Amino acid sequence: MGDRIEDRLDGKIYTFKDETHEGNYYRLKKDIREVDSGKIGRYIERVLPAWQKGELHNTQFLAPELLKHVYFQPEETLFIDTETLGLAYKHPIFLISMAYVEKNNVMSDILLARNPLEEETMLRAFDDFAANFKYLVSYNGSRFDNRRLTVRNRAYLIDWEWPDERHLDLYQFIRAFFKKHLKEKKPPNLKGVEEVLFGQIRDADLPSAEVPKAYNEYIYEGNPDRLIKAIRHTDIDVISLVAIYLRILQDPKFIPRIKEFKKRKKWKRRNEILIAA
Amino acid sequence: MEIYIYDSCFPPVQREKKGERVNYKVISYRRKSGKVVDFRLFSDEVLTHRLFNELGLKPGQEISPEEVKALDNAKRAAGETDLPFSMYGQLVHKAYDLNGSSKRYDALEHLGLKRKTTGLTIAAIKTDKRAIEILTSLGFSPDKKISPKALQNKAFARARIDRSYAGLINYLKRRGNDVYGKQTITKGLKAVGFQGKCKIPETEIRKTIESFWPKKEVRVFIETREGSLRTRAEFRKKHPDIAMAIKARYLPTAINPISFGQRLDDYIPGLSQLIGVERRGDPFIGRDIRNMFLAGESFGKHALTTSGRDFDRILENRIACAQRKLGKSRQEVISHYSGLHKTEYGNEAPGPNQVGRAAELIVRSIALGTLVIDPDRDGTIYKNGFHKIFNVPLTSVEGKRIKDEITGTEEEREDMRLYACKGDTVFTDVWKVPDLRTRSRSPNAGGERTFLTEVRAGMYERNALGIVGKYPEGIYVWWDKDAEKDTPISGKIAAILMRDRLVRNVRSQLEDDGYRVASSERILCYLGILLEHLEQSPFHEAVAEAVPRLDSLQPILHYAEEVAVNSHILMRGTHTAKRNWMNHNLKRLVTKLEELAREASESLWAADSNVEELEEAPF
Repeated sequence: MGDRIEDRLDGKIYTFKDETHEGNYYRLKKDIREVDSGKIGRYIERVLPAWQKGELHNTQFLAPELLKHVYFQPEETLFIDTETLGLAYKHPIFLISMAYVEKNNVMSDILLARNPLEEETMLRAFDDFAANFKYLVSYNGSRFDNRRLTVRNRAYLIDWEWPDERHLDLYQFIRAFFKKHLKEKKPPNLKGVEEVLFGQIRDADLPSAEVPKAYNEYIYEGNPDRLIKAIRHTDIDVISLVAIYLRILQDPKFIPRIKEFKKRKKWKRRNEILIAA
Repeated sequence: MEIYIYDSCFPPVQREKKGERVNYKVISYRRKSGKVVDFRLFSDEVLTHRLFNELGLKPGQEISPEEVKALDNAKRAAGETDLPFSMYGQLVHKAYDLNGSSKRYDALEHLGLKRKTTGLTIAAIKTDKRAIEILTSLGFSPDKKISPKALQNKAFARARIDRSYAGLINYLKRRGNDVYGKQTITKGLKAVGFQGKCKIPETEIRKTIESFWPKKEVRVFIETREGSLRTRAEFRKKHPDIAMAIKARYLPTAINPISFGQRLDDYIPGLSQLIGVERRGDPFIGRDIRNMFLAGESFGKHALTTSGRDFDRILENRIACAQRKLGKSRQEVISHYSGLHKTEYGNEAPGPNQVGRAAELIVRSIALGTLVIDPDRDGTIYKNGFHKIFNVPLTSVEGKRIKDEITGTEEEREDMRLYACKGDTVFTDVWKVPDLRTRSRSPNAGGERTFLTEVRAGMYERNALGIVGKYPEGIYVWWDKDAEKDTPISGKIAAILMRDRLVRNVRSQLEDDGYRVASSERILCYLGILLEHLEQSPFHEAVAEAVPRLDSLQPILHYAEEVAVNSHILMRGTHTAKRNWMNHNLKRLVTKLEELAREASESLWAADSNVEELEEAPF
């Protein structure tokens, strides 16, 4: 019934084994140069050395106590994006795309559960890998990705939780920026952000809403075409996260947004303390 | 109470009653609340008239004010008094009028009555010698420290029987005041040469708690949820003085009041809830629920209340207490405290049905697999010591059709209908449809025997016991349209895909009802063997075609194990995708096995298969 997805992608089947669990998952690891990321890729290649040296343009205008909330070292930062079968907690995560800096390069790393049984192994592998990093950067992760990862881990009785204080949600800056400068009320998606910040348009991409259908088409009907199309473009999503993060730190227009963010964070922390008391 | 007499002259007001003039004096006094109240105090003549004429007392009679009060109330209630005033109030105010105090005996003596002397009072226990005698007779000795509360209880109890014991406590308090300037029992005991217990220090309280509930023991109880802890009632019984001291330190008058529960929680967080439900909030309930959740254990109401572990039953009480406190449902309370979403721990609506369906498909695949891998034609599995689940040798397995027929029209269902015979009447019982029907070749029983199989999965015994009484023995027959004959049911098989402990518990009841029980252990064992055969030639290609997304058939075995052991986890909302997908694969595997079984049934039985021996194999 249909082709197997692993026969048409360049990844490998990995086995994860620990004391309680053993299983397989699929992994695609690429260098940024192997990804057709266009302007975004070129921007990252240009800015990456400055980030590694700690000399990002404009960051000197931010106070150190402000900067500590948003500025992370390249080797301790993990950028993530997830794909799920729906918005509810019951819907599994079938793909986790990660980006990180490795040996002067940005790597795109995709973990795929080829069927719902592989979700547990994929999550365990992700948990294990994410433990090497200190900070997590995502787009709308505080509301979606991080929560979903926690709940799906708990579904397999894994007590995994990424603390909010070590998680940066880029959506919070972008939303405020779009509202202020572009007068847009509707929150932008990642493609819209790429278009505004980098002028990159992705036409041939599969819409996010279609991805769960594509996955179901594959596992129930054996048709991998649309899912492969989605996976091939997922790495661009996560790489654009790196670019947006660097752009936020560099662009002077974001400085007021960063100040607001710090204030919000301060209030949030105060509220948490009050609730706990 | 202070009295301010502003008019001592008789009479400022005169009142005519029953033809006589009655004099009274109005005295006014201010209550503690500040309110000024007037009181009519009658003259001595009126009061002596009440005492001696109306109440029937005699001058010089010994009587107490309480007795006068009772007698007066009775007479007034009977309407045998001239004036409606209360004698008791008159005595109180008369005493104030005489000497400015409320000594009612003074008023009585003024009116010509005598003080009643009953039993021994403080005055009677005049000396320390007498007090020591009483204390010794109560079982106390100067060597041991006496708890004031215990002494008080004992002395009061004895005084009810023997009045000579009355007044001891007051005497001791007076002596304490005389000698040490403190009107307490402890000081009084010290004054007469006994030892009273002093205030128990905080360190002693803490030490006692720590020794009663050792830290290690409590930690083991919280982490493993095994064993039990001694209760608060037991603590009170063993250390009554400490318990009293703890209670005293929580009185509103205490400086920095601290409750027993707070003390316990300061020692080990959450301990107070484990040894008795606290009325105040339970901040540790979330921790315990999450621990159970992450350990993969069910914390449903039925699971907790029927659990053999103390910890689980206490947790259920705590949840119920929190429900009452918050005024929320059980699910809301669990979510509120543990931070878990309801889909994470609650059963999703189709969850139980899908797990049941998976169990049916697993058992059906085993039955069909028996035909496909053909283990009994040469007796391989039997010779290897494997006891077969279904009667051997199988000739056909029908499952899907039974379920499908029931939804079809009346005519379509005829060929698979189950008839119930009661006396001469035969009637259809279309809703009692088994999960599976198997037929076995049997030369001794007219060539073929029909068996019903009921498959059950779940977490509780009641899930399995639902089939008890479903098919009364001997009255059901199948009408086989193809053969145009009735086939009596030869036996019933209950395939129970549950935890081993549950299967052991329900086995006897099911066997009494005529079922032959196939345990999950046996089903899983046979499924493992079947899948191993199916992964090999010549079946592997057909199976790979049926389940192309699976790398091997091992996930099916794991899924079956989950159905048997952790069905409560599998039923949760967070496992919906897994259930859907595995059931999809199982259905495709069963369909493929049906095809293969049809092909296999066309071949003949091996001539050397020993049918008699196989049928008598222990089940």
